[in-house]
Amino acid sequence: MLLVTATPVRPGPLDADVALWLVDLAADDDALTAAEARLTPVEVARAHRGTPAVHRRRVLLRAALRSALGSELGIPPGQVPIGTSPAGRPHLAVRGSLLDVSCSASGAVGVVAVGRGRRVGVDVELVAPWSSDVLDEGWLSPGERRALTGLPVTARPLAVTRCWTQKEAVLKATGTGLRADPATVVTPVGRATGAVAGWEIRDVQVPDGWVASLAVTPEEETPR
Amino acid sequence: MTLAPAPPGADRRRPQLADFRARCEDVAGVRLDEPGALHDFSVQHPERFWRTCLDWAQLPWSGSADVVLTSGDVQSARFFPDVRLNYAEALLRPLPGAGDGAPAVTAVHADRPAERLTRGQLREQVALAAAALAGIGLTDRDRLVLIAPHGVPAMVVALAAAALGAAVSTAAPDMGALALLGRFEQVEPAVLVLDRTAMGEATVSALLDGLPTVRRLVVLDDLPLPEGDPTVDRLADLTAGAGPSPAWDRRPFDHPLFVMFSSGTTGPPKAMVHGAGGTLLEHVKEHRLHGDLGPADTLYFHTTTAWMMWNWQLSALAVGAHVITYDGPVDGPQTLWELAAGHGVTVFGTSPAYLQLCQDDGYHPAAHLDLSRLRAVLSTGAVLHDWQYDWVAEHVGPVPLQSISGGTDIIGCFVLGSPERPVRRGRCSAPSLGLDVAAVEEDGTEVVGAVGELVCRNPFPSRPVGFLRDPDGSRFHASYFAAHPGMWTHGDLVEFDADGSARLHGRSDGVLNVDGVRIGPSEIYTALRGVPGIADAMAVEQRHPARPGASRIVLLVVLREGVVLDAELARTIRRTLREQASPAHVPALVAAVPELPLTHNGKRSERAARDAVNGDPVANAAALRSPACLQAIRAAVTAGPAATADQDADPLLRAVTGLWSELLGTGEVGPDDDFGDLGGSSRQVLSLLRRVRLDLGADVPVQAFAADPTPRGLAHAITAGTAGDPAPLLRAGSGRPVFLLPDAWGQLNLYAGMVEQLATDRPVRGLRLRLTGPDGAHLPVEEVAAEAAARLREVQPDGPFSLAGYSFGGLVAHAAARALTAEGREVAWLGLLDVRPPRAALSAREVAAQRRAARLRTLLSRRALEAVRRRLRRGSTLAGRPPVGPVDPELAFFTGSEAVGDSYRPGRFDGPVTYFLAEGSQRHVRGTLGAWRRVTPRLRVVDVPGHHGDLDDERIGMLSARHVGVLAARVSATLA
Ligand SMILES: CC(C)(COP(=O)(O)OP(=O)(O)OC[C@H]1O[C@@H](n2cnc3c(N)ncnc32)[C@H](O)[C@@H]1OP(=O)(O)O)[C@@H](O)C(=O)NCCC(=O)NCCS
Repeated sequence: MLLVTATPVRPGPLDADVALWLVDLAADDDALTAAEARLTPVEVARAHRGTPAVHRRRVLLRAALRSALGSELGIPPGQVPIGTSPAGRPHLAVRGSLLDVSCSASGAVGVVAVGRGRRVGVDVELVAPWSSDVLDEGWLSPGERRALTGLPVTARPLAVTRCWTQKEAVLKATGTGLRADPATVVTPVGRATGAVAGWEIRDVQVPDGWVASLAVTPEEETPR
Repeated sequence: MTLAPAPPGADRRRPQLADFRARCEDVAGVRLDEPGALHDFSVQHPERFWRTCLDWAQLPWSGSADVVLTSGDVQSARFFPDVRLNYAEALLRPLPGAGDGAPAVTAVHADRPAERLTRGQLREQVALAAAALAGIGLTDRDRLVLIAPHGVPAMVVALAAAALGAAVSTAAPDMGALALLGRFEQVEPAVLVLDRTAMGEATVSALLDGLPTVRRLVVLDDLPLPEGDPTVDRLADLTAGAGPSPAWDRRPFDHPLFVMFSSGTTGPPKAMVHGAGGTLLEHVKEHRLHGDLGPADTLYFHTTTAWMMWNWQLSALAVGAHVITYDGPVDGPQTLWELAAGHGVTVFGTSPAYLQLCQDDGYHPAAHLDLSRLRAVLSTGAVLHDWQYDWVAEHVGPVPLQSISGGTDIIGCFVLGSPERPVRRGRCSAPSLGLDVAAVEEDGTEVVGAVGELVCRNPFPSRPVGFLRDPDGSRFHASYFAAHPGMWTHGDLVEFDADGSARLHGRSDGVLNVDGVRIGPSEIYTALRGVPGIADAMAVEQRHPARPGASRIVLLVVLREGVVLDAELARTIRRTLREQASPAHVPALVAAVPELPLTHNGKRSERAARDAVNGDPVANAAALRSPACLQAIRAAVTAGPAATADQDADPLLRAVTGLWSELLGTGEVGPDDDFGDLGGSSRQVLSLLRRVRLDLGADVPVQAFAADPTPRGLAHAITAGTAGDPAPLLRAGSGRPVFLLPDAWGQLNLYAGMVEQLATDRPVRGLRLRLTGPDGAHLPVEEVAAEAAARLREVQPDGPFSLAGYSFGGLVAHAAARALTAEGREVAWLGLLDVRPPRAALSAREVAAQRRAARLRTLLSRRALEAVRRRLRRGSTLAGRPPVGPVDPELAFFTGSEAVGDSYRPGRFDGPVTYFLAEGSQRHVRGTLGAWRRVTPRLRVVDVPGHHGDLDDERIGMLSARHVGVLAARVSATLA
């Protein structure tokens, strides 16, 4: 199977329960055309609703998601049955499947996570310069705000971005996305791993300048 | 020495077509060996041709074949009015080279070994099934609906019904109930045969409910039998108890055999009846003369029972071929090739999409498999591209790739292969014998070497006998014969070359084929009827300017007087189509035109419009009433999307749109654009909402934004929803509202998850309350509650009231409930979400208990430091000193609320109270719940998972995404 644009992140021992793929969203037009050929007409139509940049992002990300699931299942990416929850969460539309999937993109970097017997949520974000504006955007809990402002200024860009990705990873794992209040997901500011709202949080290795987090159901749980 | 006739197809060097030509030459008395001569003969002398065909095929029939054709009118002519035959008999009779011991069918499955039946065994099974179906009363006036996978049982049932003369309509079990009913409701079947293995129970009951004419249900599976009406039997049980097989009567040539469906540009799917004789004769002709199929062949055509290729491949039994069926999944490019290799398939039928999949995946069948038996690959369903011919040549082998094309409407093909013609890349080899097919202009004149409308200009036997639910034949006429009088107009665009080879160019009747999805423009037009300002519209397919081979939808609209196509209208159109049709129906481009192309007789010409949007010369321009409209269409399409005419009179919408543009760095934001479609990320949503708060003074919760992430939606959320509304609607509903009181931060956000998941039809409202006085000092709980009671009465003048609050909000709710009852109003439900009793309400013993619990908690805490800080803070606030730690105005606000909360002395409330006790608070609160019981005699405690979850508590709160579902369920269950 050709994985046009996705490369697997080397799975560490802890990650055997989750397969992670990095997606090059700056891939050339040939890759884009090839990727688009694997999407369903509905996916293509959805991609085309966006601006050219959104189109490219959606196509490459969705094709990578298909490839990742396809390689788990041993079927061509184009044939992976994918469903979408009303809130937009993608899932493998195979009854009783133990595979779960999540994807995220920011700038040129995309990430796809496939949970094997684990429910997963992943989020990647370009690290942006620090601005105190974020304190007043309503998505940080008071404790998080305090912890952030307690950090040296140089550590804050990464910390606040990581904090966001951890929240988003959890919200994408639960499937509500922004339909739930991110402030209610309280993260261990300054730490790349830990437990957040009952989810196990892991750090995902991404290129410099980006940060990505993964939320997975703790081991004892079966995926919902 | 006796000469046994050579079995048809046995001698590959001499195709059956040569033998047939020799017969025709005898009949015609002229040589027919020039290319095209036989086809010319077949359409110039239809009576001689079809009679020869019937005789040469040695089909079993009785009666007289003297009258071949009743007239020359394609719409009404009947073939062989005096011939009687039986389809099942013709398929199952012993043939030279294919006697009863020859293989008839091999059913291949993904999950179990294949089964094989000889022709004799298959005939026996069909006879048993026919006896069974006759036994439950199936007659030749009935119709039978069969929903089963492609396998032996489906074949047996269909042939048994055909043997009895009942018409059969088939579909695949994985189709949805609605799609199935849309088809079969028109069929009014007497008997329904189901394989329920791959069907949902809901589908089965929906079918039975929706098909009231069904007298008997027969199941092919082993699942338990349902009780009740209609009577249900297993086919296996019926055959076991059946009497002798009734005679397979021969019936008139046009006796109904299949009911098929075709979706067109208007209305529900057309249910068309195909006759036994026409179907059989056409299929035998195609299989033997065009496909050279015979007893030496093994045919696998990848299809389901829902597609006409199923009927087509079934008829291959009539020429003695061995048929393979497969009901498993296609797991990858290798699946069907492995099947073909493994079962010695000689003729393999598939689709352009599958071939493309194999090519895209870099799969090379010949490199892995022995395909030496394969002698032809057939493809149908869509246009086959030039490069796919190269791929087959290179990676499958030197076998002809035959593109065949026809339709359900004729249960056969107009253009297909020919054993005598070389295959030209990208082209179907030959027109179907006996069918006078041509490409014509709008005025009906034939064109060669150019694209025209595909028509058939003479009667042909597989024309449907008619439509169901079309008593006067007007739908039938409108569907095929109205466009070009005297011709069957199929609705395809085709180009014929002088050598008779053809290339299809998609649909002409306006059915759009975008990325493989067939889209009926009528669905687009129906949806657009709800959009004011649009007088008329035409959706056409345009070659994608950037993606070769792909196409997209261009929607041409004619606007009413005074209406302009601004970005807003374009988006309304898109949104309407997305919501009422599907994302696939959304046009890539909307262009306003003064007029649509109409022909002189007032017909809409989608074809002219399509040529114009593609920038192609318009072939039928002369046939148009006002050819000038084409120039306008071209201009409108090249002008591109309408510029945002700034006629948004709404200043708020303009301001919101401005913020979007600024944030997203794009000038082109329309009021109905989706934030995500424009490239906005969820992180940016939060920045946007901050700007909304700062610039527009409105506090829009994230969830309110997410519900409709467009500028218009945001503007709505700002005006209608939240800002300034003291009792914002958190969820719409009917009846008495459920009110939620703000937390110690004065916010309602924390309830979002619960609001979403409450199982109630009632509206849910939050209250926005002032927690501080003009001097900035916190107001006592009673005062906050007085405002709350006043707000409640504004929304709901009289009781009974239902209200709840978490923590501090619960104290306010309690005080408000007291205030309301003091006024003589009823409070039916007071929900306290883990509302720890305030200090001031505790007895000395309870204070001590609380302290013990706190100490224990400190010891248990994974982050002792946090707990120390918590203790410090609590101590400090109690002592009235400024809070410890970095000065944080919001934190100060929170602790201020907590302080007034702790000094609240709850008074007596005699109404019902439900206390939702967080699991993690039990230790902390159990010993102090007495404080609540003293003042609320009707206290009922409900346990919920999670922790209290306030400040610094890193454990999972009861309102967190994780636990809120259970909380919402328990709240819903107690709600009054
Ligand atoms: C979609 C959402 C969960 C994450 O958005 P984001 O951080 O900007 O985007 P990311 O690249 O990290 O993730 C996008 C992917 O998450 C997936 N996703 C969408 N909704 C999801 C949900 N509710 N749960 C889990 N995954 C979801 C999708 O597969 C999406 O990729 P695709 O659109 O290419 O298929 C979040 O935006 C949301 O909930 N939005 C609600 C609606 C809204 O406000 N839309 C405005 C635009 S953001």
